Amino acid sequence: MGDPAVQTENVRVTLGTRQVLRDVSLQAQYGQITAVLGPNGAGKTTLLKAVAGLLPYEGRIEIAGQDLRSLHRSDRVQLLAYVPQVSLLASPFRVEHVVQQARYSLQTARHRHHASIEHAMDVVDVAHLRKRSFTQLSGGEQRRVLLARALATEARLILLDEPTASLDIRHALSFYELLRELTASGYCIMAVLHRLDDAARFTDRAILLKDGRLTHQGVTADIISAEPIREVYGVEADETTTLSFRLPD
Amino acid sequence: MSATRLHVALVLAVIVAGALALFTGAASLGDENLRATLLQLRGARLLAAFLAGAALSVGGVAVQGLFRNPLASPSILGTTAGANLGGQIALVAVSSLSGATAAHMTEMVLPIGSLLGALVALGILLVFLRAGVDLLTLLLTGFILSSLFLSVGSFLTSMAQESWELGRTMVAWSLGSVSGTGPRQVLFAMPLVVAGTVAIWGWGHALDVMLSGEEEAASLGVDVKATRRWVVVWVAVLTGAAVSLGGGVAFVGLIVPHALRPIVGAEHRRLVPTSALLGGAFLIACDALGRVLPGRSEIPLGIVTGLIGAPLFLWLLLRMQREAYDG
Repeated sequence: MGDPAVQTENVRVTLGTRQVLRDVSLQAQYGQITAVLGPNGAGKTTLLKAVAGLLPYEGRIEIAGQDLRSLHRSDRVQLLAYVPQVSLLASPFRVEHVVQQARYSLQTARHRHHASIEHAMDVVDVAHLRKRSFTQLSGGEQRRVLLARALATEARLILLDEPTASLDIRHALSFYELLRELTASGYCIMAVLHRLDDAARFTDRAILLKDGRLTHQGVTADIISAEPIREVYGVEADETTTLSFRLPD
Repeated sequence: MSATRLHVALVLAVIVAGALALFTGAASLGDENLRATLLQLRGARLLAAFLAGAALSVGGVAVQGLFRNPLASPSILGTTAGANLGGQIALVAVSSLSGATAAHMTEMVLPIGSLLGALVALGILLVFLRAGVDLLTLLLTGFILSSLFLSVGSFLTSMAQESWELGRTMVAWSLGSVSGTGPRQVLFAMPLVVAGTVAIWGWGHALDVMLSGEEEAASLGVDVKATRRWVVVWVAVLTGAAVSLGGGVAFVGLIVPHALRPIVGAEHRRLVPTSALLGGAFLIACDALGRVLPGRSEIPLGIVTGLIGAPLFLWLLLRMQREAYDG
């Protein structure tokens, strides 16, 4: 097995005077979806931003075996892509222009840019929206366009912060299906999720955070079980409710 | 409308506005004795109006992109007020000289004063930028700097009332006008406006990505700090050059990019050249209008742009809200 997509050792992040992450050591592999779970304020988004290289940190973070600190901006873009929970993009750019932004710092031939952009739009199924204004799309369509932009970087590690938070159940299911297809083709998806039932159904591995500390990590089925959930969230598992949905065949 | 057609239409607008401006004024070009002098004076004035309009509009595009706010303009960085104050200080300094020397010196010292004023305002702003503040703090800093510079400028203007000539010049300067702008000022400002416009065009792709927010831009490989710093520097250069040519001219940087966005879209590399052309044509037309409106003398340019710009901006704002409401 090659290098893990993400490996952190004793990562600490301090924002102002508050230590938001304390000695977090974890691994995320290519070909898997890793859920980042924990109650509000546990440090999930901070962890994702630190891995994306957007926050100063202590400790060590490796992306595909390379020290994150040693990576130049354009090298980092080729290794990882980050999609925040809420994009501030509110400009009437055409969809294809938004996806093209993925190639901003990448110095490759024009035909390579074009091929990456077209491929990303095809994979995420937004090619038919290319001439539409980003601001006129639905929330679900906007999420897909931002994922297409992440894929157009050709990075194999995609960091998603609550990717289905604003989506209805149909769009959310379809988004998870898309993420499964991506991991099947070798991507590593690391996603902050709030809904434990979604994490249980769609992710391979999970890490649990509480008060900035990593309390559990492993196969999702082991992590989302009565004991860790009680310890981290302070709630009891209720096995009498099993209501769940799927996309039609 | 295709990009080529739009550019042709805008160049035509500049030519038509320029022709009108050359033929408009109290004296007639029919007088052979005056023709050469009038053409020289009005030519310099026309160029000054075009360059100031282009500089303010491109500055507006850059600031609106940087702050992700279509209601922003160069004045919010405090550079307009800084440039104004620099010009006022230069006027006061030159007033101690007399006669032809003073007139000659004013033409040279005024643009230098404006530029220095803009750069000092920018220098203070950069200190805050180096401390890594967010855009909102930067915005508030610009607002506070503007208030400070305006207060000092008002103090100087009130002091200058002791001398009738200086007081009149200071008031005219703060109202905004290109009527007294000479060829030297134009030659001094032209390379700054051209360099600033090209530079902002060069930062266009980075500004496009920055519209997604600084974190997303950084994750896509944009050097956010460098983009912020250099865009602010070039906005100061453009603003300083514009103020040195026309004093305090309001609303141009606000309404020109606003008017163009529904036609050319939000991409900066499309907005920059079109805004430069439309801003230039708009200010030439406003200057010509100030000469034909009834009054004891010419209506200052800043008043004309304010009278046209404010209602136009309100209309654009209402249209934008209606479109947002209609989806």
